Amino acid sequence: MECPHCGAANKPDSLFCGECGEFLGTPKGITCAMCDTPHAPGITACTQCGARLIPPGVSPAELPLELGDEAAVTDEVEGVVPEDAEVAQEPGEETVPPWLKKLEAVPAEEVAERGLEGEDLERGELPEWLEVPTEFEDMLSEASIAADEEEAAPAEEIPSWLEALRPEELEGVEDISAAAGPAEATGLLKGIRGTLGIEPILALPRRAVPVQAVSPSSGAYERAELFDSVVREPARPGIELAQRRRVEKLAASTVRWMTYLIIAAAVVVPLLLGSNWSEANMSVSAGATAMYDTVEALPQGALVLVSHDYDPGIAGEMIPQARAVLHHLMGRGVRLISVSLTPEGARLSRQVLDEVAEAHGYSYGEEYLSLGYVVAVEAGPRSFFEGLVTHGWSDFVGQGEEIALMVEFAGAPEYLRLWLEQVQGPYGVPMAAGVSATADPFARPYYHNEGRRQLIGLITGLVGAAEYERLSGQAGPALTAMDSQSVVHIAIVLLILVGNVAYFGGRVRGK
Amino acid sequence: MSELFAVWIAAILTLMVYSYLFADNPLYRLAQHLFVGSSVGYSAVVVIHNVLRPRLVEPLLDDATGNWPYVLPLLLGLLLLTKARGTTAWLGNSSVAFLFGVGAALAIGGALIGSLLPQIQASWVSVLPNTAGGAGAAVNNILLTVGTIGTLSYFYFTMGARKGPGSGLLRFGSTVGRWVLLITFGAIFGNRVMAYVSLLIERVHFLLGDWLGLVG
Repeated sequence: MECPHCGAANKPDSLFCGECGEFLGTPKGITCAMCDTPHAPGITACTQCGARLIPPGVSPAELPLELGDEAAVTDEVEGVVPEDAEVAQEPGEETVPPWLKKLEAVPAEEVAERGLEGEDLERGELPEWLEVPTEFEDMLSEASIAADEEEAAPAEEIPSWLEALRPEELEGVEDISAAAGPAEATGLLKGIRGTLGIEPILALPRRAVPVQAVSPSSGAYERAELFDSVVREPARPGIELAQRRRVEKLAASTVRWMTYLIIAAAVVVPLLLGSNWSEANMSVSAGATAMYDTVEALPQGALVLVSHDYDPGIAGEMIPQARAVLHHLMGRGVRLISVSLTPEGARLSRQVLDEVAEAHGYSYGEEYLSLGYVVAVEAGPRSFFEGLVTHGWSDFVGQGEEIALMVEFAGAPEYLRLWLEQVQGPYGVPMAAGVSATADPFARPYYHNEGRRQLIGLITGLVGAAEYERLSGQAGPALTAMDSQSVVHIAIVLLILVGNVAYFGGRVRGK
Repeated sequence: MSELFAVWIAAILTLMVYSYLFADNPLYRLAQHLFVGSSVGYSAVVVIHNVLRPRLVEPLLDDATGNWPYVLPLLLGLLLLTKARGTTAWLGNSSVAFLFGVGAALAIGGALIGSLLPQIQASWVSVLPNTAGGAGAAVNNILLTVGTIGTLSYFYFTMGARKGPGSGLLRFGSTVGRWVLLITFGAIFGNRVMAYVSLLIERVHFLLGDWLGLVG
């Protein structure tokens, strides 16, 4: 940029001249009337809002020699205000600002309340607290002198560049607004056209760049297709890895089927051979002995309640138990009442009951009775026992007749607990149980409670049935199955040992 | 003839279930669905003929005036059916409240009398040979006592990170209890394996004996 004082060339946006040291910024430039942005001399339009800084047709060189004082510029502009411009007030009229008029209108009472009472003020005079301090009086007097001098300046001394702002008719142009835009309606630029800034350009649309033509070499397409097919194809293991996996899969399958075959052979072979080693050699647990002794001690005609609480899924364990115990009970000549806490148990127990009753010559309704299903919630066993014994609602039971023994065949511990908590505990009924092997760990604490004798006897699973058969001297399906059971247990133990040896051997070898 | 037919059906269904050894297949699925469907159907029939008819419907039909209290469970049961629709579900709240209230009362009372108090009493044993009934019984009672206290210590979750001899003793008891629990779970698992072996033997015995006639 060029220094307006010495004409030396300076870098753009320089604040001071490098030659003469003069300030190149606002004091010597033009301030935008729209956004108050200062500009260096010689600039036609505002760089911030786009408004024109000088009228069209006037070159920056024709600007007033030094626009250093903004107040002077303002006064110059005021001097060329058109005649039809609205004048704010008549000259010589007393100028009292609105806030001061409001202050004058304050009633005397309010003034007194504000502590102004006693001040002798005439109309038009300012109170002492509103008077100008003495340190500012000189400054204000200089400003008023300068204003008076400017008011006294003749109107003919309007600069040419301001005269050019006056609206005029353009020759050859029918619509002035089309040529110079709409005229300003208010303010200092009232009536002047062409003051609206040029619309700034925000962005230019990007020009499309032409793609350069590619000329692939021969075979490039084939290589690309090959690459594409390789990428799309799922990952396949290598030949060695695939072979190793096939071998591992085959080995796992072989081991699994060998296990199946070993277990199957352990089950089938003793059954086919008809061995009876267990029948002669197996020991009998204390629980089975206690249960047998309890039944053995029952008097003829005693009332025994038997509950068959199992379903077909566990019937393979429970029915041999029930058959062995029912044989013993009917051999003692007791009267039996049979119920079940499972719907399927009622049907399964009835089959066994009828079969054993037929063997012992029992008649239904006189010596044994099946009452079917009892709902397996707390209220089921309790209400059944209460109604049966206390109220004697069945002809089979005499009023007030006590249950001599209750035998529970439980496929799950929940059924055993229901009878123990709802019948054995509250009514003190002697109770023995045959449970599945799954339920045994939950039933055993009740059997071992020697102080309360909650369970007098306990047999567990197919083994318990075999023990009872052996005690009663009636070999049945349970004793027949015991050899298979023993061989399978031995096979399982061996398989566990072999499996652990293989596992730890593999760990030692680092596999 | 019908028995022979039933044996064949049972044998074929058994083989269909064991076909799962190869892999999951339609035959296994068919047997599974047949079992579930027949169980549910049979249970519904039993409930109707063994509970509702003899214990509710027949008393009311025989002597409605004398058996008028049976109307109350009938009403409560019918209100339970309103639970099927969301707009009328509130009508069944009284029935559910009755069921839960009676059930909880019986369960708590029964558990106290039938399980909790007798088992607490059963764990109060002598560890001295002369009063326990011999050295073996004394050792057994010591194991019972240590196992019971250890298991209770293991479930004392608010033990925290306190220092001191009491906390150390509690940690030791907790470790003992963990081992007791592991042994218990092992015993449960072993019993379960034994139960399944028994069921396998029963099925094989059925196939070899009742179906094929190879075993007497």
